[in-house]
Amino acid sequence: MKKHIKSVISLVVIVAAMSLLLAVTNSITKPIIDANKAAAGNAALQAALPDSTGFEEVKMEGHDLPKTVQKVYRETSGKGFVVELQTSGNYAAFTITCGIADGKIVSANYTETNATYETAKTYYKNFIGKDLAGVDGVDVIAGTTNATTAYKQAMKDALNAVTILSGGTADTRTEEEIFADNLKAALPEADALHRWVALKKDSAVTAFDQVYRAENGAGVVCVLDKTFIGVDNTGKVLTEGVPANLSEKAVSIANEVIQAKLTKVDYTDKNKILQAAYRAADGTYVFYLDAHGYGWYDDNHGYGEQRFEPIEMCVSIAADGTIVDCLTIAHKETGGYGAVAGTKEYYSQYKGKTEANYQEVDAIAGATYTTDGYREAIQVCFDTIKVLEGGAQ
Amino acid sequence: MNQNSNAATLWRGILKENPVLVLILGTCPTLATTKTVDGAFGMGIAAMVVLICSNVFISLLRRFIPETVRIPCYIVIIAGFVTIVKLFMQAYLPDLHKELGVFLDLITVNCIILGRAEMFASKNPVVKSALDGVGMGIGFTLALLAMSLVREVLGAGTFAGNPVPFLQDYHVKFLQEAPGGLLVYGLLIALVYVITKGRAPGKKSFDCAGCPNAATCHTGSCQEKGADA
Repeated sequence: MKKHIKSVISLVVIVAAMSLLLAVTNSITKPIIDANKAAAGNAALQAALPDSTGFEEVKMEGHDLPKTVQKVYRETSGKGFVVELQTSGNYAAFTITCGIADGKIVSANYTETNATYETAKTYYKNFIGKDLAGVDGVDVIAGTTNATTAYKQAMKDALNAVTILSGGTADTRTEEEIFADNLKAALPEADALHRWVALKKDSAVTAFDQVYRAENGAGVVCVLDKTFIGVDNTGKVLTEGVPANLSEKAVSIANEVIQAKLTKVDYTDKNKILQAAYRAADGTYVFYLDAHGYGWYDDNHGYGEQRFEPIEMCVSIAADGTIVDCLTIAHKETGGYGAVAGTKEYYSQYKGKTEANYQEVDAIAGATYTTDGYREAIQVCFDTIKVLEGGAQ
Repeated sequence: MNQNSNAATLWRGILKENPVLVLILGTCPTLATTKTVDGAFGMGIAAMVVLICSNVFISLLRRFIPETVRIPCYIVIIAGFVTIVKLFMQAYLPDLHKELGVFLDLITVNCIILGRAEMFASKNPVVKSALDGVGMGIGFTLALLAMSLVREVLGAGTFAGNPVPFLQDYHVKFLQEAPGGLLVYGLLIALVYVITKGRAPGKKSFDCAGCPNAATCHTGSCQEKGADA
């Protein structure tokens, strides 16, 4: 027994002695090791805001900052701030370290994963030296819209975050949110607003960037640049200060909708591409479709993972079987390839086409699946008309 | 030179009983860290510091540690000193710390250290144990340096990271790989054998308990002097 006690005591003493030595060593070396780590971490911040002396993290609690903002650092000699953001496009995920001084963007360094379109990779250069208004003026790049829109929003978020943390106020709504708010303000009586197309050949819809129709028939909203014109279902313009020529056109669109006396038709095709159908009194149909995008065909062939996001379309077909208007509302196709389906140049080619000749519209180069899906959706429109009008199939 | 004098103790570890090239201990870090001269030197010095500290400490406590728990005690002491060396390296030499990586931790189980603790430090006074640590440490470092000189200069055409003009185009990459390392190691052992006229291997003065093969080896010159645990 005595031997065991002696063993235990000696072990305990030795462990205690070594622990003491380790504690002393740790107290000596810990500050230096931590300083080394901090200096290494600082390297990224130094790159964002050159000639800085040091950084300290700013507490974000209690402030309503945009969701993309992860961390904010204040430069200790008052040079400015560095904001770390996280955002993503279609498939690209960006981690951005943004240096801001005097309300302008000094640097926008980033690391990204999965950016599929090369143009997105140099986009950040457009923001150097810009303030909030300047950032707003930078265009997103068609063909890589999602990634560039996200990047632009992140730049705004960075500037807004600095403003808020410095005690100011900023509008942190995303462009989408601002747009939705403007739509709602233009036609307050509307419940849900959906993109709308022309019902007649010379419709004024073409004069505007976008037209929206209220689901509950409250009226329409016509959008051109930053102007939102709301017209109610009596043809009265609700928005003030609209130039006469524009308000005339907006009213004509509203009247077009009123005279159409649209009724909703309850029908869907067997592939569930057709989402909603409306019939006007004169036999014109308006279809909302979710066309099969690249991901649909890709997955069906067993390649890779499910990336199915539909291409949202709206097509109007007159009683004589001619396509009056065709519109791609939204999509998640690949920039530079299937994304061409989202461009006005592409979808406006379908205007005036009939069932017999809509295939004449050229396929999109390098995007066979997208083209197939688009054409399939157009065909569904014609087939649906046959069913609803003639009771065929 | 008196075999038991302080001077003899010191010189023994350098050539006649060089831990790496004669006693064949600590081969793992030898092969792993001798790709560069920097790494080899850093490893050698780190191991030497641990060896000296643990030898001194164990020698100081040699009458206090009971036989039954001596191995756990030695391990605690050695591991503690390895951690201390690691912390200092991480603070003052972060690049070297990164280069050596896990092999710094592995000094804890380096046979040289446990072997010398078991064989020498637990039976000898403090000054002698310290000198033994110094001698073995220098021997270890010199062996590592010799290997790394061959492996880096001839294998990668650089010396401590600086390119050697002529050899940049003619270096033998094989020497940087594991088989090449073993080859250089074997040749160095043979060289030392020749220099010491083959006398050293037969008179090992380390104990079986410090050798990793103790459990399975029952033959060989280890047992020559009838030295068991």
